[in-house]
Amino acid sequence: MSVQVDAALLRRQGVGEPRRRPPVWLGLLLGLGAIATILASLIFSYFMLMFHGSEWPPDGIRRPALGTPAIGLSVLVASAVPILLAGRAIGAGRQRDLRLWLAAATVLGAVVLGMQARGYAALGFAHDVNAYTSLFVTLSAFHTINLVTALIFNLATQARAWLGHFSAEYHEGVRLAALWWYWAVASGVVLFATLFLGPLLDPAVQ
Amino acid sequence: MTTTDDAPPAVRSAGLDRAWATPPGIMGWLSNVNHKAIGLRFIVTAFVFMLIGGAQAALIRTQLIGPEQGFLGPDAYNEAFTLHGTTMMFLFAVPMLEGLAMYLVPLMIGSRDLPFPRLNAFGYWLFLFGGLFLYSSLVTGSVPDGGWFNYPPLSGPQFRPDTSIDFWLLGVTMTEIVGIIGALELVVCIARHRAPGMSLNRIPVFVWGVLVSSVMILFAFPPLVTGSLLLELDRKIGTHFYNSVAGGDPILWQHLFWIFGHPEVYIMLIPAVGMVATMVPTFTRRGIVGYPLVVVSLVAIGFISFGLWVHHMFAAGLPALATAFFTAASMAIAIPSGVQIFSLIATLWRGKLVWSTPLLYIVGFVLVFVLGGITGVMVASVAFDWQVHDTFFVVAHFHYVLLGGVVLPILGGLHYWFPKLTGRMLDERLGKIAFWLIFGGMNLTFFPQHILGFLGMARRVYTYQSGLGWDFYNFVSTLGTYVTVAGFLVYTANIAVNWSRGRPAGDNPWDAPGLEWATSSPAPPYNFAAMPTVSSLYPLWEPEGAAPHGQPGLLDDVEGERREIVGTTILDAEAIEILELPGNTLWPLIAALAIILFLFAVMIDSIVLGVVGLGAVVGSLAGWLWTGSEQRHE
Repeated sequence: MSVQVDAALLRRQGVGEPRRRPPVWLGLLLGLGAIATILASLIFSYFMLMFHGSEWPPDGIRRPALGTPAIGLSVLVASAVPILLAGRAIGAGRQRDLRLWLAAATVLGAVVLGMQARGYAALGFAHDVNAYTSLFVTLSAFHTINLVTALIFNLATQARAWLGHFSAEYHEGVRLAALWWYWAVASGVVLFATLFLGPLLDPAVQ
Repeated sequence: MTTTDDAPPAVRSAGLDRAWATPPGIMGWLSNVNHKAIGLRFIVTAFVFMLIGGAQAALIRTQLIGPEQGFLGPDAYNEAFTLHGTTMMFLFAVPMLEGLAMYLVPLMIGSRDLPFPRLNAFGYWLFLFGGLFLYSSLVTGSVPDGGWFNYPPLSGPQFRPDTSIDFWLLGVTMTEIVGIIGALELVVCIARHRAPGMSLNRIPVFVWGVLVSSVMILFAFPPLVTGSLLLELDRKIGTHFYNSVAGGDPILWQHLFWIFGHPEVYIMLIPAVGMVATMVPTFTRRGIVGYPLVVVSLVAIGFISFGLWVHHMFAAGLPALATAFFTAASMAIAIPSGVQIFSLIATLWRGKLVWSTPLLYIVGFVLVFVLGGITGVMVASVAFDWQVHDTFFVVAHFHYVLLGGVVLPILGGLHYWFPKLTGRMLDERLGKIAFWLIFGGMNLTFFPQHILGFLGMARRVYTYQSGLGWDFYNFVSTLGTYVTVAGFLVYTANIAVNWSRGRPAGDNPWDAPGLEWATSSPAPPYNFAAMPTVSSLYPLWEPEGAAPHGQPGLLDDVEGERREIVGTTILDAEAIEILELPGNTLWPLIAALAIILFLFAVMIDSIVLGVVGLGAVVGSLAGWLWTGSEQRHE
């Protein structure tokens, strides 16, 4: 049985209604899968070395305080909301709302970044003391890089939003930037759990 | 395959030619993003790396031809086996298979290009520069010598303070990233670009193999990227991930390496099996026996292969429960592998055999791979592995697996698809001579190494004393290597002579059933003048046949000189949209050059150059992405 396809019909469909998720969205999702595997490998390394040591953190280093990082995490998670609303706005063709929500997310992301910078400054140790400090700094830096990338992505998307590149039908760029943003949030949650709650799993901790 | 209307073809393909044209000259060459150009560059570059890796093998074997030889010396020997393994795994096998996939998959599934052509071009440049980066260590005299799996602490800052290991870590990481990029492309292409009608049960086995191995790459390569990054940090900025004195653990590297390394074997094997299973119908004049079982077993191997890595670490002192689990998993993977082999044997059994050169490679694959598989089941057992660990038995085992399971299918596949790549036929007589030399030579090389392993000869030791009973087997093994080298020279000569002067092939010289043969050889830049539709696993063998290429049909007209293709659904390949692909650009090349600049800055510890390099990376990516996916904003 042969398959009949009408190109003219496909073209009309493509223009008339919001498109499904484009191939590039699937591509980014798979790319994030690979990056998430890097994260998984880092976490594997963290726990493998943690369970090898007799105390964690070793060498009299104090367990990291939960307070400020927990606030930072809350702001990070909250930043997903304006990203979600930005996508809804452009889906309905509301250009102004798109720009507004993207800007709101940028502000929240910048706050988190600032808190991370202060956290690094107050750390009290460098990466080259022992395996614990190496892990702590590397895993934190991994999240910072993801967040900075998300912010750059977001800023470029805002520039394009101001230039009117997006419409209700075509806004792949917004979808992609949102996907990366969600990744930055999700990886932040996982890393918070690893770095700040993980040491509580150490059998030496009572 | 059918077409949908009947306007005159000549008028229409002129627009296609314009839309898909590449400008002439060097700029056109550098900015070309077409999947066939990029795929062919991968294939040719990987082939050259294979010849280099083969030459290193000949050096290694010459050193071992007799006891206490001084041909290479211990340092040069370490460098030779390190570069040989690294070249064959990272610069030949995976890039060659991905190159073939990049070239063939869009043709086999009836598309016009890969989904992200610029990313594809970027991948090639990064691969080329990454390979050259690794080999530039030869110029500095500081050549990697830590073996292809590069264990710390030997490769750590304490014992290898020079730049040799840095070349390895950064060069290999680049090829890993190239692998991930190629895998992304291929998965999305196979998911969303298939010809209307090519539902899951009509996908050629090679395309299935590429899909499975690409998904595996996405999850297997990142652990090594991570491991390499951590080791480079240990070496460059004094972290302690692998330093046991400061709470690190060198075994962590072994885990990260083999979580990559074992799936890697199947990442190479699965598309190679797919290649064989796609060629075999042509030379048996019948469909493959048990197509669904073959596909399911490919997928099963993909899953199980992630649960085997510890069998490389049986001698590392891990808990008995862990080794027992990994022994069981290692034996279990023989089951889906067996399904594939029996399917091939059944197809050969039931078919009318046409003894062209590719069929020799198919049969050679079955024989050699089965032998490698049997020794694989043997070393899966901890008790046995402890006896032969790090001996030549293991060397013999994995060369049987890789030469039989990967190299023979690649050589057969290149012979088979050469007409599609060049429009010319390879010489059959030379092809058969090359096969017999390679097949005979490799058995002569590696079979005696099983015995050497039993006799206790350790791998990676540059020489041995006489009187241990090893002399004869080593001599035979080295002779076998020379025969293999002669075979590869004949194979290469066959390609060189017939690339432009061979007998013209025509569109479908083997009377093959796959869609890639439904267009001219080599295919025009847009592959198909009209997008094909599919209603069978073997479209060209259907009674209705295939419409000759150039006949009018779906998307044979271009709108505004756009590069258009049909997007289809993942499961049923229903046409749902028309996608537009970007055209030629220099940005991928510039981005790859910027990355290389940055890596050299890391090598020479230059902060200024590093900042410039990083700025160039960000700038080129911005230039590239600005004209990104939003081609049709309006």
